[in-house]
Amino acid sequence: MIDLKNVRNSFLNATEKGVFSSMRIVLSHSESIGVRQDIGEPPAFADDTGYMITVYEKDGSGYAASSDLSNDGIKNAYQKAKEWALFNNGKSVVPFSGFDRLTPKGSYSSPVKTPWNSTSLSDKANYLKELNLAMKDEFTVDRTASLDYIKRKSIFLTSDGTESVQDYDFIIPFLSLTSVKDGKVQRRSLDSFAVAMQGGLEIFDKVGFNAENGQRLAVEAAELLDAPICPNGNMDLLLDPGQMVLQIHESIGHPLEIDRILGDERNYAGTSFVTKEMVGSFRYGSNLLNISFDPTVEGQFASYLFDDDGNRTQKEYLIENGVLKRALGSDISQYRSKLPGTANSRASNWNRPPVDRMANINLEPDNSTLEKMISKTEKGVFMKTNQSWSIDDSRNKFQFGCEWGQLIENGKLTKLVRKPNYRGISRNFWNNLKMVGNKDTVEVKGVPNCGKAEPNQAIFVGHSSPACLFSDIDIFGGEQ
Amino acid sequence: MKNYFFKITDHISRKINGDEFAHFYLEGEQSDFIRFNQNKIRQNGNVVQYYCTLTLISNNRQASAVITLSNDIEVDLKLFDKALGTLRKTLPKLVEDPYILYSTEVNSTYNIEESELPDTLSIVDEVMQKGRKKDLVGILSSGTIVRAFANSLGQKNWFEKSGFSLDWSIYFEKDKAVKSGYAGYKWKNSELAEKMDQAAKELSIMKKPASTINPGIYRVYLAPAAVDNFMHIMSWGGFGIKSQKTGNSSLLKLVEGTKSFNEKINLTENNLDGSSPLFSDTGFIKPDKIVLVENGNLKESLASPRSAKEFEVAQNGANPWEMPESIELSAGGIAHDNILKTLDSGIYLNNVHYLNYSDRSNCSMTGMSRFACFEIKNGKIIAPINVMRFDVSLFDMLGDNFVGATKKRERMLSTNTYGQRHTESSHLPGIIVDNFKFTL
Repeated sequence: MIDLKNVRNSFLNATEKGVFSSMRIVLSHSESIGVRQDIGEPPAFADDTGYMITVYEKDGSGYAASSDLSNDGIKNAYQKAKEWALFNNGKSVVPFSGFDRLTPKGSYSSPVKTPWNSTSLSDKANYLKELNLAMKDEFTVDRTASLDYIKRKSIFLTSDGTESVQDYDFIIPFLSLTSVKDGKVQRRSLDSFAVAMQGGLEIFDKVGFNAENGQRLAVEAAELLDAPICPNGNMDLLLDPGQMVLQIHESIGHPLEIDRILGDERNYAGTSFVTKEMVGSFRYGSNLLNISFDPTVEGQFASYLFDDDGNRTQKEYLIENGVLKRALGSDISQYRSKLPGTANSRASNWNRPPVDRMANINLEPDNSTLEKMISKTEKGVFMKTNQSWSIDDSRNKFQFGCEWGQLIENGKLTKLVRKPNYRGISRNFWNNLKMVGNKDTVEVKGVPNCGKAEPNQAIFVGHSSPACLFSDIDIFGGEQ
Repeated sequence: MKNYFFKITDHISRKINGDEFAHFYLEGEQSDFIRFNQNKIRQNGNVVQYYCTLTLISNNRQASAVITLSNDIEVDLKLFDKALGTLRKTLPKLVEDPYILYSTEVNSTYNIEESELPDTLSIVDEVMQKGRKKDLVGILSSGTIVRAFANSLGQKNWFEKSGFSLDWSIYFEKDKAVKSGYAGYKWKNSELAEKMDQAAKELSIMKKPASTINPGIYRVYLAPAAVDNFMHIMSWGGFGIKSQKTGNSSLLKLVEGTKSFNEKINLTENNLDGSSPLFSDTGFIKPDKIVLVENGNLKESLASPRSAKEFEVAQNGANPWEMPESIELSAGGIAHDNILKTLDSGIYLNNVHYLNYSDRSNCSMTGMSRFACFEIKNGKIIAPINVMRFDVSLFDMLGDNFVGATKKRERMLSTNTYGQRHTESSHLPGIIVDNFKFTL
């Protein structure tokens, strides 16, 4: 643990009157445990403490990140950040003197009912062993059950003397297996990498991290091994929340990031088909499409009170009844673009500067039951669990594949199909949104590895969605 | 940092009991990062980070702890003492692990490469000067990278390189741009100028009205940067012994012998020629070369120590993910000046984007064209193309559809900065292939 009083004093002593600066301190403790093929993987612990000081000098801004929390260390980091700010002045794409910096005060904590440490490492390892065993059958050749836990404290100090503290408890459960039969290979997982929440061990029930689901995955993999390849053709597509996560993330979340619209990401993650002029009037999807930015959802993976530049968050609608109303950008991006935005300037850790990121980007439910959506489908495929994902640099032309597929014929679910894929163009796809599931079909998901930015950052984001039905989609299967 | 790190490892090693073994792996850097947009600075700053992993092994049990070094030796020694205590308490609670393998041969090495880097501020000024009147976007990463290993038997390895990577593009409009890069250990203004001039020439072609090609089958040229993307995805589980033995490898058909690449395809993990350290995170010294594919057939696999025990093969210094770090594809006979002539009519792909497996067991990948990609007719550039999606199997692309590779190969240093600046590299030619399928 750090002596926060000393750190605060060292930082305030390093600051100068009339020069705004901030210090973002991140303290993390993480634990990783896993069981593969009934054998315990070596547990790994990590303790990571560091900070980033950002100095704003006239029109310039610079940062310095370090883990040296001594008085001299903080003073040196401040000086380095200031040198960069002075160098940057007059060369920056953002004129930083144009707006006031933020002075957040307040605190946030993840909702934890059953703390991670309420059971021993051995108990958790035994539970993973049980889940691992549940996935075993005559066809499985590889089975993994694992848990990642991250306890993170993020403290934001400003040269004005304000302070905010946010305490997070993240848990990332993972279940995956590979089955083989007659040269055919099938993977099945508990929604791949999209099962993650804030909270304690009580999230196991919420996300279905149990032996029953482990066994179900093995059964489904075995069934798929005997299934035909998904047929090709234009037909209806029913997606479960696990795949909707990816669909929302890639074709709504990323294109709405204002820093992409402003061109910051053009060398790496890409640009966006969305332009500034489209915000407020563009028909992104059918009337059924309602998308919110909502870091206030209790226990969702990317919930918080302040972003990493100190902007206080609140729920905002990005798309209402299919029309684009707002984009994803924090105060800096809002100032640059003159667009309405959100509190989403976020960094992956102390050693990376914040940029526009998704937080919880959720698709709001409508009123259709899953049964109704199936009954309204003459010919289509129901797909679950993302397996493959690719989209162009403007976030337009995508191709996604799933682990599990089942045909819908004349309003009924019929045979299973292997290697189901679909492709499309973002705008056309969302305008083909035909039915949206009710709240009973909603699942709350989290993704721990959203990549973006230079230097690169993998960040935690959350998505919740009901099941959704799309019409006239180009669906196809892989090779035998 | 060298003395600092070994002071910690010596301190902990002295505390290791007779039935215990400890090893340490350090990953650190002092980096300047400068992000550009519109030839102005978007973000700039400095990052100093040193992460050390302490692994304790005793009675066939193993656990590890990562500690961020604070630059205060007294503080850090206490953190390591505490971590050692935690690991000692943890091990008896674990069941025996049959797959522990660590190096017991002491092989100490020291590799500090000299570099000639001007200060970062003058590099930034030079970049912005050369980028004048251009819409330049990208990142400059510069500074020292360190990797080090030590164990309680006294082995010590140190790897230190100071270098830079300027990864950039210049834009004409919307998504019409040319991408380039300049990376190394010795900065030369003249080399940057040459690359900027070349990019500007290519950008003039991007100003022509773009052509939208129809989905279908085309003959294509993939420049080394594009080939690098395919190799990167193929390396994701393709060459590792674990993925091959558990049905997860994209090259399973190559393993089983039901498919092969063209006989001209030779792939090597060339550790000696690469830019990564020659020791692994568990202290094994890597072999100079591992031949992965020889004359189109799979030869060797990458085996980490853990997989080596599990699948009863010899370890070969592979990382835990069993991904190549210094992949090399053999050169061919196409002279640089003859690329367009050999391609004749088709599509010239300088860069591709967001590749992923579309059908892993068939080694099929989907992705997009990006940056400077052109339509070619009768050996001449006709127009830039609007972005197109493709979906191809590497068994076809590097098999029956493989036409040839260029004589000249490009050495590319990784621009990956997830968590830290990465040290991987590749050495690849451009290739021409037939029947390349564009889908959307």
